[in-house]
Amino acid sequence: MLSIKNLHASIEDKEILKGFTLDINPGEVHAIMGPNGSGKSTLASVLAGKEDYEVSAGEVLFEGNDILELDPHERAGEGIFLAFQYPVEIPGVSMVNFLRTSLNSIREYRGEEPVSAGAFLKLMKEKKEIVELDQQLTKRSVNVGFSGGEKKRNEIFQMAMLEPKLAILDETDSGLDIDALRIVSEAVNKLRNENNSFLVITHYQRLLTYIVPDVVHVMVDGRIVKSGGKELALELEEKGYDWIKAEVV
Amino acid sequence: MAGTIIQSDSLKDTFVSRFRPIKLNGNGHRTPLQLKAEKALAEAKLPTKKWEEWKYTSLRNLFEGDFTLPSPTEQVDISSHLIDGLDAHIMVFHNGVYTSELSSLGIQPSVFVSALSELSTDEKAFYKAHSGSFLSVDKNIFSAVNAAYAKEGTLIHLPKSALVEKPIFVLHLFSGGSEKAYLASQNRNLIWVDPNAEVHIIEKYVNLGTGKTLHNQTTEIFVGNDARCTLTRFQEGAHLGSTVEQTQAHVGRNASFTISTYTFGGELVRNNLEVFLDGEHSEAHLFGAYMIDGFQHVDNHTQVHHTVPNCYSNELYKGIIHEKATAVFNGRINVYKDAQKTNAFQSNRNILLSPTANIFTKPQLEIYADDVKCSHGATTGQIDKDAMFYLKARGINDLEARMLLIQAFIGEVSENLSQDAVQAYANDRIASRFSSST
Repeated sequence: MLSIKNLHASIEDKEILKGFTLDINPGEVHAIMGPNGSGKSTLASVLAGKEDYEVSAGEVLFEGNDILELDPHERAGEGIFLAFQYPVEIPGVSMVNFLRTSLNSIREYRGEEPVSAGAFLKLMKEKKEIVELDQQLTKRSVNVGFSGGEKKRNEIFQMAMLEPKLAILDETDSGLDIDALRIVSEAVNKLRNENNSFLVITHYQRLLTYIVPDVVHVMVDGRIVKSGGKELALELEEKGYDWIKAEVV
Repeated sequence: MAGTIIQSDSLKDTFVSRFRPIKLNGNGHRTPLQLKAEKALAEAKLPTKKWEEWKYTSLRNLFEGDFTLPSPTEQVDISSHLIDGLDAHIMVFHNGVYTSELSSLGIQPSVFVSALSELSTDEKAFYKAHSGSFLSVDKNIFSAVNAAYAKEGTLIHLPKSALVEKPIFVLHLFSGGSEKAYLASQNRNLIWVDPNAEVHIIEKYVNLGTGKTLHNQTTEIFVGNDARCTLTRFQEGAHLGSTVEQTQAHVGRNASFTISTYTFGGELVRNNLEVFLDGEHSEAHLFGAYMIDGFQHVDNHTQVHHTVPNCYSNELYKGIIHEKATAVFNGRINVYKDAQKTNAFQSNRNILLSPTANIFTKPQLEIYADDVKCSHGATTGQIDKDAMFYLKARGINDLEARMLLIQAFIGEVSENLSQDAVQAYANDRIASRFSSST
């Protein structure tokens, strides 16, 4: 599904990703953990196509195709979804208009017919229940007046609507209370199947007791320094990151 | 160069002559107002950019430009300029001249709605008695030349407690002229809403694209005690139509006045808008939106006067300026000495779509009362990059993402339009305004 080889990326001449390599197969859930400043969110932004970052070396293949030349909207069309760490408020753009434009843009990219207004509303109602999103929230402007937890749930709601092949969850758990965390995790587990993949970026092990990963990677200073099974997350929780840093050096 | 117009009398005389009817009635038929205006006109000077009021708006093209006369035979088709779904009384003006065969009125006889060229005896008497009540003829050369020579325009008068259920739609079409020479026209409007009456007027000004036009217009508005008046303007001059508009409204006790001005284009548009809150507990809502590109220039000068206590005014102007276009906003709130408990708010927000676009904005507050709530502010920025990335990451392409954000930005203005059909029309124009050029 996703194959990243020796990826180097920088922002304002500061190199953040320094030879990042990762392979994810269909149906797999990978977690990336690491201390602050290790480059986890940069990785998410680079994969989604944020223009502020410059890729100086390496390649990113998605289903065998190089995506680094693609615009962000084309990557979304290909099936990549980023759940933002900090979802953006867009006053004046209603959730309904936003989601419908989004869904139909992706369908158009894939050569599919747009969904009718009726079918869209039905789909929205169905998916809203998965994340237990308040009915009223979809009547508002995008993320405006949403609490922190509602914003994160809204990201997962959008993911449920768009059904991506690869979903990147960038610290979706940070700032969530235990109830919201459980709702978000259950939604991810419901959407998980053998054809799609997840890349879960997190600072804490807690999320991974709900979303059980196939592989856990530890990222330090712009690359993966250690990979293992789900038990690696527990070990990190107990011992912190220092022992790994020591091991690497 | 800025402000270097040679103030020769001949330049002024030539400009004034563009608006002087070929057959001027003798002194015997001139009204006192017209005679006074002619005197003011003799004293008036052509404004230059050295004048504070015209600092950012050069009138050189108008004063030094060539002018041409209308062709009397030209026919226009109004069908594509109506507003879909709007059930309204319709008045049509072509180059400032009322075209009765294209209009459809049929309002109860107690209400006066008429072109000045078709006034009945009663209407004529009313117009003569009230025109010129507010707008002083010596304000500037445009108001002087308008008062002296304008013969056509609209009279709308609602007697006490009258209600015109359907809105009145006034369509102004401009054509003729050429790429180089202007065709001049002027109108003089009077809107008089007696106590407890209510009216909704929608005006649309369209340059049909055949050549340059200049329309010089004044509008005087009276909103009596407990009355309501809503005036919505669409200025669609494209790159050829120029307008100098001067509107002055006086609002009585418990009355409400709402004016919305949408400028989707114009070679040069200058809107002078003054609202006086003259009766306690009256309110004024001033909404404006401008979306311009190319070398278009739009200048909104507004003043709200809180002359008495306990009044409310709210002003929101938003603009999107693209390419080498220029927008000017100069808004002033005047709170008079006795106007305690005034609530007055003003905001001007702009988005520049290109580095060559210009905005000059100057919000001003002058407060002489001590127990008031007032705020004003102006912002200028670009399209929000984070919002753009968020939309694009959801599969929406660059152009469409930009359109969504533009619509959202101006939508804060258009959401205040009370008529569904009018709001739908505005939103449609907002959505399509830059759909091919950004």
